[in-house]
Amino acid sequence: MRAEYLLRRLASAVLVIVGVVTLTFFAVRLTPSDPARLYAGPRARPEQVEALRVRLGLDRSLPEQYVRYLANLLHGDFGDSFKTRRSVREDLGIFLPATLELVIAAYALALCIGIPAGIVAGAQATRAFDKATGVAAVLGASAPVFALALLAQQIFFNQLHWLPLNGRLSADVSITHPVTAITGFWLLDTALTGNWVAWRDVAAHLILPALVVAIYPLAIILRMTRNSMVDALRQPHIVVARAKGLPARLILLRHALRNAILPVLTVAGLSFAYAVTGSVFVEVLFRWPGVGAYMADAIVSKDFPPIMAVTLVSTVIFVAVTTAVDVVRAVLDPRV
Amino acid sequence: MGALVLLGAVVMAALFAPLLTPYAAEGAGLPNMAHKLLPPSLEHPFGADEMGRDLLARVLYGARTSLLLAALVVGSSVAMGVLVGLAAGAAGGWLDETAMRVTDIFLAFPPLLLAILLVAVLGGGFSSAVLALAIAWWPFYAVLVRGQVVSVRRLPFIEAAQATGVSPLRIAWRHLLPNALGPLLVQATVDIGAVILVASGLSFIGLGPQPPTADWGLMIASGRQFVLSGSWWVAGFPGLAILVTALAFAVVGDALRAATHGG
Repeated sequence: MRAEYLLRRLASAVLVIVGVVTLTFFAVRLTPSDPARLYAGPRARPEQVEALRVRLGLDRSLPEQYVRYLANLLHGDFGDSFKTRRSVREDLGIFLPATLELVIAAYALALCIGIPAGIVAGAQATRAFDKATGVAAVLGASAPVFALALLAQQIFFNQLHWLPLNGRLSADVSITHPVTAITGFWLLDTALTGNWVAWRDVAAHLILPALVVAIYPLAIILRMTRNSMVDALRQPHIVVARAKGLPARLILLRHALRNAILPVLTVAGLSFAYAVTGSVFVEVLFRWPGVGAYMADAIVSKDFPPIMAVTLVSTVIFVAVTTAVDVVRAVLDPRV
Repeated sequence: MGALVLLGAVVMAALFAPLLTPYAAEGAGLPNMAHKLLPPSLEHPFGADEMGRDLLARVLYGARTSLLLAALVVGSSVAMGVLVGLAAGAAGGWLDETAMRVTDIFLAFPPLLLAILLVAVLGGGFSSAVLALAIAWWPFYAVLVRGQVVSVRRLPFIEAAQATGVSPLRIAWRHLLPNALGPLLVQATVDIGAVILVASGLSFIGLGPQPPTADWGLMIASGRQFVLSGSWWVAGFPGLAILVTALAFAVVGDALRAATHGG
């Protein structure tokens, strides 16, 4: 029964990804724009464009191109950028770690602030702290992230001069203490090589964008923890624990939190996948060299291979996370 | 209650923008370079933008763009979602199975990403932003409506209607759909705020309405270079307008949800 459920879940994940690939391919191929012309550049002669069309396989029928695209994808080949002619896979290898570093830092912030604050708010429901965090969370969830980014830059760079405006590393540090890329996560790379001057600079550049990306998940996680705690504290076993005279802190953290935390982590996991693409505005505003900024550049020049690649990678991450969440739930909860 | 007043104010601003400001022409896009980047004053409570246009007028006109766009997106996604969800839920069988598999594929895209992809394909502008966002949004309604329909499909009053020979179409329309209307209305209200947020992001990166249309996302994008040199109002007031509008719809939607669930 359970093995059957897991198999069905995995099969449907594969089906969804194939559907996404198909939809993306045909949506892009049905545009009036001519990829060969874009790739060849504005000054190419017609025969050069023709030659490119043949080389890129664009002279074949649409189904044939589709099968070739699928085959290439299976080998991890996303094609070349029309604009820079670089391999999209190599580009992703550089830009994806930057985005993941940003989003992971943001989620670390959101979880470390959101869960404790949510617990406190839930434990003292309807008191002042609960009301204040409630208002803050609604505000945080309704604020346009690019406006928050501008506001953060205005305050912490322009007024207070505490943090750098944008980028991932200061120009002078990149010359005196260059980062040796190992994992692509620069905070990790600089620590591994003991390059502490660059580490401090990388951390200073990371704080503001991570804070801005963190606001939305922080708001969601805080409210989710709070509501979940309020529900958990109403359960009969909590009443029993109280009646036994157990200390309040123990009841809160051992008995209530254990039941309350699973839905919070589910929501956090799902919204993480959204954040990978949601960070596009933050990346553009902070000149953060991640996949979001990469895609925004590609959109301006109608450079479709990077756009398709980022779309696919993000949806695959999303489907993988949702499937993993379902599988974990199925393992933990025998009722599924 | 406060949120309802805010929401009413935003809707009023959108409906009556030309009557609410003496600078209607500037609101619609006419530059007035003599007033370039004027700070807020009694005459221009929100100041003037980089083309000297009264910012209050621009923000009021921006409400029209945002609300119209969001209403079109939510309206067409609800229509599509009701069609698919009702058909799938009422018919069941292979039709249900197929419709839900297709919906799953659309739901696998983060909505912002699908919208960006589609606008990139269609080319920027008001109508392609509406189309792209609607395509990204309808699956949520399809799932919602189908869930509601399936939950009442086996109830006695439906079986009674079937037994007395009421046509399936009439059952779907008169008996199944009304049960889904409450949750649908709540979700649509919350989503108008969410669509306004996402749409402002699209126009911020140049994929939404084009100048000289007054659009909050666009105003922040063109104003951002002046913010760091001190003219905070150029991006500040449009940003506040988005915040207030999204907030009002979210709070009113939540209140509606609480009211319909009796809690």
